[in-house]
Order: sequence, then C-alpha cells, then structure tokens
Amino acid sequence: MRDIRFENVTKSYNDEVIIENFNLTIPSGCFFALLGPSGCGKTTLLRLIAGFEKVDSGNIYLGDQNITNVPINRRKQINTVFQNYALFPHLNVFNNVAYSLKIKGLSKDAIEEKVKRVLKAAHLEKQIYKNIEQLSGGQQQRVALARAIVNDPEVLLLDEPLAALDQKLRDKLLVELVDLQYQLKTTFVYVTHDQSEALTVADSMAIMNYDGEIEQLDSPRQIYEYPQSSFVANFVGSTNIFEGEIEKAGENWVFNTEWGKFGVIVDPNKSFVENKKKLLMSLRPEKIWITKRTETEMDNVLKGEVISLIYSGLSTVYNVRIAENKMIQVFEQNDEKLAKENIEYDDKVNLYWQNNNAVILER
Amino acid sequence: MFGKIKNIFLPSMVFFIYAFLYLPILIMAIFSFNKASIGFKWIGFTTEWYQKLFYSDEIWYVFKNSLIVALSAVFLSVTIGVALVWGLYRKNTKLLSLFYSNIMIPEIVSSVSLLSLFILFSIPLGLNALVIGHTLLGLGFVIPILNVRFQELNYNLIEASLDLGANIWTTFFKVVLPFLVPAIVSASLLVFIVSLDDFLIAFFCSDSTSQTLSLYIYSTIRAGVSPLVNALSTLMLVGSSVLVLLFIYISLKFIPENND
Amino acid sequence: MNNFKKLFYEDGAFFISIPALLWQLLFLILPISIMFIASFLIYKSGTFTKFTFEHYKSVFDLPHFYVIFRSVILAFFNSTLCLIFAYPVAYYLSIRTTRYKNLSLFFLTLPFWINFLVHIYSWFFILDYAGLLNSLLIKLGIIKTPVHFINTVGSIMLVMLHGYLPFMILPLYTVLEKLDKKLIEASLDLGATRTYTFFRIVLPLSYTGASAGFFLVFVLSFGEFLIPALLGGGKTLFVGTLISEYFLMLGSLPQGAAFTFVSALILILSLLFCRLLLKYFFRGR
Repeated sequence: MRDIRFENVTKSYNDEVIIENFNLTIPSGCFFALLGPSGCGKTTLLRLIAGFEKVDSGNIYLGDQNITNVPINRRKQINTVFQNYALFPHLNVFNNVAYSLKIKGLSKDAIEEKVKRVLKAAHLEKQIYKNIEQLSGGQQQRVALARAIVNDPEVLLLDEPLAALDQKLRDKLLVELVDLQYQLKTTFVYVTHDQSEALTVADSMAIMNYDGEIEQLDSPRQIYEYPQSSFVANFVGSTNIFEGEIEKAGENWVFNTEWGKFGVIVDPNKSFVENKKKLLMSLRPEKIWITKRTETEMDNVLKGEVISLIYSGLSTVYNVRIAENKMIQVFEQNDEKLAKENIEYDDKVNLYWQNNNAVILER
Repeated sequence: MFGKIKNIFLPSMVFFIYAFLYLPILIMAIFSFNKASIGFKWIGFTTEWYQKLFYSDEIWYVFKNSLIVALSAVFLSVTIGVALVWGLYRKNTKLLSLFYSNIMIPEIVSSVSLLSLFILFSIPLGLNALVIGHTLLGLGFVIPILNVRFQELNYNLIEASLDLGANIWTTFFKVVLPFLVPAIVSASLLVFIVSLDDFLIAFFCSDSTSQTLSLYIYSTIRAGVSPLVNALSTLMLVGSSVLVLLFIYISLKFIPENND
Repeated sequence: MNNFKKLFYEDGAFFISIPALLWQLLFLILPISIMFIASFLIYKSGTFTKFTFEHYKSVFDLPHFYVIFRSVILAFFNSTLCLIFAYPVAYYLSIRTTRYKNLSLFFLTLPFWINFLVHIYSWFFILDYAGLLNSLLIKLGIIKTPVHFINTVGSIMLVMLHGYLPFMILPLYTVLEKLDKKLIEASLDLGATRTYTFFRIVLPLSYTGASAGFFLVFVLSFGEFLIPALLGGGKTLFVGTLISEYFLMLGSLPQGAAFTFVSALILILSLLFCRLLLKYFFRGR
C-alpha cells in the first residue's frame, strides 16, 4: 500500500482557480475523509487522483510513482465509486462487476469466482443476474462498491456515495463502509460535505475552505475538540464564538470579552497566544450547562433569557440571549425521562462551563 | 489511438459532412446571381433572375396556391387537432396514439389511397383536395406536439379554476388555451412548412388549376436546369431559414417555462 | 360499452374530438381500406367487377418483384450509409459543451426545413449534363465531353444520402446527448481503453437512437418517388415510381393497389430483418 501525495498542484476550471500550490499526503491504508462546503474543490481533488482531470501544474504521486500524466484507465490501482453510481444500464449486476476483470483478461472461472465472492460479501447473492433498474438505491450503491473493489485496488475513491440515500440507510451503510475498509486495509478517500458522515468514518480527515485550502488535517476527535480556526469550529459541529482579548493573570490565562471575563486553559503549543492579544474563543453548545439554579462549583457563568428552544426527542437546543447583541446556543441531551427542571420560553437561566471546555482560536 | 482519432479525425469528418450537406445548396444560391443561365462560368453579378421571378405571373399564381393550401391546412389541422387532444385529455390515450402512426406510413401510400378515394366518390381534384390531404398530414404533427404540451399542463390549475366557479369551457379558454399557445405556434409553423414542402399529395390530388410551388419546380426540373428555379429555390431557402429561426426561438423561449 | 357511454356523457368535451377522428377515418383509414378492397377487383369498362386474386399473383411475376427487390437494396444501402456518416457527427456534437453547440444544432436541423425539391434541384444544378460539375471538369481539362451523371444509380444514391442524412443524425444525437458521461468515466476508471469503451458502452447505449433513425430512413427511402423520378431518368424503376405509374390511370388502379400492399408487406419483413441485424451489431457481443 502506498501513500498518495499532492505536490504543488494547481488546478483551474474556466479561468477560476480551484486549488493552488496544493500539498497533501494521504497515508496508505487509512480511511481518509475530505470534508468541505460545496464548491471548495474536494471533488476536484478526487477527480485528479482518479485521472478524470489533469493538473495545470504540479505532481501527484502514488508512493514513488509519479502518476500525474498517467491516463485514467492505466491508473489500475485506483478505482472510483460515483455519486450516482454510474452503473452500466445495459449490463446486469454480474456483468457490471465483472467489467474490469474481463478487460484484465481473467479466465471465465476466475471471473465468476471473484464476482460471486464480492457480491456475496455485499449481500447481493440474490441479485446477481438482475438488471440494474430492478434494484433499489441501496442495492445499486452496493453494486457500485462491489464493482470498484473486485479489482483489489490500492486506493478507493468515494465521491459522496451515500448522498442519494435516506438517513437510516445511510447510517447503516456508513458503518458497513468502515468495516469494509478495516478488513481490506485499502486506502479509502471519502469526499463529503456532511460533517457527521466524515466524523463517523474517518481515521484522518482534512477540512477544506472555500478557497481550496486545507484548514486543518487531523483525526476527527482532534478536529472537533481542538479546532484551529472558527471556520473549522463552525463547519464541524456548531459553536459559540466570542471575540475578546487574552490576558495573563499570574499563572493562568483569562479571556476578556464585553460580556465577561472567562478562565481558559491555553495549549502551550499555541504560539500565537500573547498577552493582550485580540483572539477568539470557541465554546461548543454541548459543553454548556443550562439551569435556573445557582451553582458555585463551575468556573464560568453567563446569565441570560431563553429566546427559543427546539425539542427533538433526543435533545433540546436552547437559544439564550445574554446581551442585546449576543445569543448563545446550548445543547442538552434529554438524559432523563422526567427532567429535574423544566426550562421554558422567557425563563431566566444560568449558563455554566468549565475552563478546559473552551478553545482559543487565532481566527 | 482512439484519442487521436477523436481529436483530429472526428472534427474534420464532421466538417466534411456539414460541407456535403450545404455546398450544393450554397452553390445553387450563389449561382442564382450569375448572369449566365447555366454552367460554371461566372459572367457577372445580377439580380435579373429575381426580377423575372417577381414579374412572373405564373410564379405568383403558383405561390398563391401553395399559400392558400398551407394556411388552410394549418388552420384546419390545428383547430381539430387541439380539439382532439383536449377532448381526449386524461380520458383516452389509445385513440390518441392512433395518430402517431401517420408519420410511419409512407407518403406515397397515403397519397395514392387519397386519390383512389376521390376518384371513387367523384370528388373533384384541386385545391380542396390538397387541403384535405395536407390537413391529414398536419394532424400527424400537430397531435404529438400538442399532446406533449398537454402532458406538461399542471392539472391542479384546472381543478383550481373549477373550484373557483368556472365551468369547463371557460377553464379551457382562460387557463388551458393560453398555456398551449407556444405549442400551437410551433405546430402551426411546422405544418405550414410541411404543406409548402409537400410534393406527393399535390402530385396526385391536384388538377390543372392547382399547381403548387413544389409541382412547379418539379416540372421545371424535368425540362432541365433553369436560372429562375435557382432564384426561386434560393428564396425558398431563405424563407425556410427564417421560419426555422422562428420555430427555434419560440421553442427555446417557452420550454423552461413552468405553469404561469 | 360502459367505457364508451362514460366518454359520451361526461362533460361533452369528447364531442369536439370527433372532427379529427372523423378526418382520420375518412381520409386515411377509409381510403386504404378501399384500396385494399379494390386490389381484389378488376376494372372493366368504367366499373369495378369480379373478385380475383389475379393482381396479387402477377405481383410475384418477375418484373414487379425486381422493382421491390431493388428498392429494398436501395433503402438498405442508404440507411446503412446514413448511419455510418451520421454517427461521427452525432457523437461529436453530443460531446461538445461550448456555446457553439446550439449553432451547430441549428445548422443541423435547417436542411430538414428546406423544400426537398430545392435539395434535389441543387444537385441537379451541379450534376446536369450542362451543369456545374461538367463545366468545371471540362474547364479543368479532366474530361473532354460532359458526362451523364444523372440517370445513374450513383447519383440517386448520392442525393438520397444528402437528403436523408439529417433524419439519421437527429435521433442519434438525441440519444447520445442523454448518455450519462459518468458512464464513460466509470468505464475508463475500471481499466478500459477509449476504444473498448466506445464499442462496449457507447454503441450499445445508442442502439435506440440508431434503430429509430435507421427505420425512419429505411421506410422513407423505400417509398421514395422524387429522387428516382428526377434523377433516375425513367429507366430505373423503384417502388415509389412504379406505384405512381399505376395510379395515374384508373384501369391499373387495382393492380397498383395490390402492388402497394405487397410492397408494404415486404417492407415490414425487411424492417424486421434489419432489426435483428442492428440488434446484433449494437448489442449482440
């Protein structure tokens, strides 16, 4: 298994620069997610790896092999699962999956054995000789997957493969994909705009912004808990952002905002933190405790009024106004059937959180 | 290798085929301005043939005939065609599909059978017979075009109209008909052109007084090349182009429209 | 019967569709039926008498049959040539994505709308004994005396190709344009060459358009009257021209009718045969 490496790649489309001097290494054998808003260039990256697009400048490597100018069909170790599956309508399931094997020139028996094995693993034994239009969306997706992996590729590219499916099916297939990757040890490059999908599947993920740059490259947990910019903090999950000034108070740090002074823990690795510097603080909604009572054990507090609440069975999201110009979002899991307290519209509440739950951001 | 074929061979082949399609007509058009009545020799630029055309009584007579037949055929086929599709709307599609086969029948068969009918029932040949035949032709185009447009009609609009108190006929004239206008216009253009273009029905079903443009050109060709026909053909070429542009303009303008 | 009653009494809208139905009945269905009946009768001294199979029998005599056979061959060759030349054009246009696409489409459909006789006349102008091509060739010194281009099978085929090419390009284009380009990408991604992709993916999926165009051109070419009449010089007879000869006189009407129906039957049989051929060629591998 080899790494995929982008080296100073630039790509434009219709005079619009999508990515410029782009560098990225996707380690072999991992489930890699490329996350970003629509139009950020993540699909372009995928298509560059597959060979559907050519770079304007720069190089793409598979291990030591420079594949920049290798045509699509010669990039045999790289296969794609398309968003709309792109199954050949005039061929049945068997022939779709067998397509690449026939081209390779395998014997009829070898082809049959491989195809049947892969279709069995995809729970499609009963559909082997059916026509494509007779299959459901979920089944078609599995055929597309089977067709791509029957080749034992080194790299599997997935372009939002679950986008056309309903939520429950999506959740189920997502887990199956993770298991599959774990078994095959193939490098999966998974492109999506759905952050919860990315968080679920990825060993390692890259967040791209609108300019085609990577905001952060990290594991899902690191990205979620330690975002490096407000873009990442807002794109993955949701958060409350405070503008203010960081100040050293003896051994500790304090974040000054117009709505109060809050204690924060600063990661010593963050070199941009200097005394009296204007920075941002990110506080995720689920890290805040909302209550009408008064507590003394918590580090920080803000007082406010409940403006709206959205009950969705599993959880409740509160929008609390703490000042004329500031709303805070709080997320609370309904972990008890009979809640200890009922928080309603217009209630006066206290928002508590601990120092280590906030993250200082540079931008 | 295929890539190279695609990039060089393909465009050049396409170019040659387009040239094949257009060269004869363009040459004919160019030479309609030639002083010489025949041959390759370019003697000089002239519009005398067009002038002769303009002053030719015969040409105007023939043109008038073609126009009368075409306009009548358009009027008739569109009227009864719209009536048919509306009458069968959401009721009976089998009768409707009866008309789709009109295009499948070779025109020679329909024209000679029409001739047989006229002879048998002693119906006089001539312009009326032509109108009958062209209307039949026209129906084969009008009905599919209108049917497609009807399928695009949002039935909720009709229900809304009825709900607000209008009867089915008011609904037709106030709601359905306006929606049909682009299809009616494009179908009319199409039938108009088909009628002007028709030869076979005119050949079998006309008499000495009802010669059409097509018949005129036909008889002239039998006698040989004529510069008048060059000029006439060029004019018809220009006329057709204008009509196509109209047709495309209307189709493009109304296709993405929803149910306003 | 219940359905019919329902149609009749429900909001009278059905009544207005009667004129068109009547038209179709009177002027298409009735005439053809009459012709069919007439094909079994003999015309003698002003009236139709006597039921007979004689006309049908004589159709199978050699002279007639040869005409039908010749028309089938002509139609087949014309359709095949049209298909071969139309395919590159349709394919090329379908993969274009520039703004010139609409312009190309316009020029593609324009020949449809130009009077067929104008098309024929333009070729006449070029190919005539005293026409353009001959004058040009003589001037260039390639030949000394004019050549009779007209009145040959060659000129007939040439003008037929010219006339029917647009009929083949359009349905092909429609089908190729709708082809999901991702299918081609998928095929390449799975290791196929562009050639393999063309023969295994593009060609089979264009079958519907190709067969629609092929049948259309075949039917039209088979019954073609104008081109053989004007460019064939009356020597070579085809189904279209022969039928017209029959119907110009009342006496030969029944014979002509019989001939028409037999030709139609053979046309249908030929179409079925061509369907098998096309299916094998496009999707059979």
